[in-house]
Amino acid sequence: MSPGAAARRDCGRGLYFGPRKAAIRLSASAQAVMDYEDFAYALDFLTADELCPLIVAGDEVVDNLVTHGEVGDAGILVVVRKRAPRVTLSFFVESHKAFADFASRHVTAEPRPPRFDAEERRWHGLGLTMCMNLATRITYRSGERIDRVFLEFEPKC
Amino acid sequence: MTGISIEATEKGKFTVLTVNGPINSYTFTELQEKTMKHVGKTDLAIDLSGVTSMTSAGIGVILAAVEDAESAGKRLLVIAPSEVARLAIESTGFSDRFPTIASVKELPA
Repeated sequence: MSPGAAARRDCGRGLYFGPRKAAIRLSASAQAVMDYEDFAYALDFLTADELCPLIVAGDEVVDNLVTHGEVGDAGILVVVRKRAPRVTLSFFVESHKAFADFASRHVTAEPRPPRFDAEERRWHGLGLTMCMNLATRITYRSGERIDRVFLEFEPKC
Repeated sequence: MTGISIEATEKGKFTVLTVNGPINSYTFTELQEKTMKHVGKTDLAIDLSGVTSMTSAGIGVILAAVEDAESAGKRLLVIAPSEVARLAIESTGFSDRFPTIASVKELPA
């Protein structure tokens, strides 16, 4: 059985597939990143060149939502849609103020380059830079009930 | 849950950390601990061929280790990053900060 066929059978995790569309609902836990990767690797309508950026950028978004966000009981709904040559990766989570603040900053300002905090020994802004370099376009929309992140990928050449 | 595994071996002057599995916010502390244990004390090589995913949390650890190694006059090399690890590194715009070799056989003497 192909990975895609196996994933299509996995309805217990709220996963569904169309010819060029798939979705999964992730729980707000450490398992979410791994579940996202299993889901992405099973998308047999994507080429290898489309899949890799989707995994790297998607991991980053899921990792940040689960680590820094306030993901509600509904978890994170992830939708992948392919309309050649474009692949769109969408995330839907319960609204929270931290996201609205984050989104409003990035709508109005140029993103700051990544910087290293020597005291904390960690980088800030590295993940956002990665997503911006991988995706053709990133859109944030904060709403009253649902916050949304859309990443669009198109071939670079 | 699939976790990370990190094995340390000695290859000449280098300590080689072989990493398998995902590097993300939940697993990067193990990489950080193992890296901090060796960086600056010996030449260090990090084999990323078995890495299944890599977020900025993991990249930050390696970038910091590169700085620490340079400050201590030691070498730090990345060995054969997997496709997702290579793309993650490239996407930071800091690829030139990750001296990379294709296999453990290419480790300098």
